[in-house]
Amino acid sequence: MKKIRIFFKGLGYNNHYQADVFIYDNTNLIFESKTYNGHVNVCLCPNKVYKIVARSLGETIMYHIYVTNDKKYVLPFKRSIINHINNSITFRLTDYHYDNLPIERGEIILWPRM
Amino acid sequence: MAKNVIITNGTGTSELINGTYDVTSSVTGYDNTTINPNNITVVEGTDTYAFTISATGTLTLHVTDTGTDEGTPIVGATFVRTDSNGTEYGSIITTDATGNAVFNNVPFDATNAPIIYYKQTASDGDHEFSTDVLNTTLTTQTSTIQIQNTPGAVRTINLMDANYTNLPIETGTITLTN
Repeated sequence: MKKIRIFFKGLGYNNHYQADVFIYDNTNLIFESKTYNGHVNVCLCPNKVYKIVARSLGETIMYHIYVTNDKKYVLPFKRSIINHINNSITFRLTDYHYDNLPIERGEIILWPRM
Repeated sequence: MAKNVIITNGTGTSELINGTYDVTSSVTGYDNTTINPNNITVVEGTDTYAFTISATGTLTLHVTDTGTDEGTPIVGATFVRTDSNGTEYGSIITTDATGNAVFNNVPFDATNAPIIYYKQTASDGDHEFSTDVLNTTLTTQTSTIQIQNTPGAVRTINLMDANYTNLPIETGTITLTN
């Protein structure tokens, strides 16, 4: 077994977004994890082919890799993620019962649907 | 990974890619289950998204001539919620026969309640009142504040004959309407 690192391109600025990663040996799922800082570390057998499936922001990619002496592999998400533009979005929060009365302080938390 | 947007004075900004998001909130003093809408879809060309949230507290203003619970209630005094600058929001409330006017759905919290601003806009015509922006915080779900509207000062009205200097008019009535 050999420890390798698989990087995923297209997870946003500073790899802000995560991907769910699944690795198969033939049809057997042998690894499942979320990316951390845009990558996963995994131990695989050299000279063997593995299927890598990754899912992020509603998009799924699939690659086969042949494990060689390389310790690092880079797999890109499709251009639709790479080309996403980070828009500067303004959020307004007001009191429901007093029209337009601004909420003085608080937080809105946004959970992306995968 | 969730994105936290800090809201200050009703507004917050963040960089966000297009997509659908579920929305939650953390606003002290308010019922966070009432954040509305609870999901949004960020699309190209739309850069502002508006939300509302509700509170469940009750603030009663008790208006009397002495500013105490035992004073004579002032009926018909009006109040409105404002921000710190005095800009008015929401409906005007009016004191009833007991001298009470109620702001419903105001925020409260035991330790870190938001400030509630309000001001008086009228009394009953016979009492003075302050137009200053007032403020309070609710540490419990219901609270009552005593407000004083002092009786108008005694004024002396003189009525003299226009053609005979200082000749007082014996009987008559002057009506003052504001």
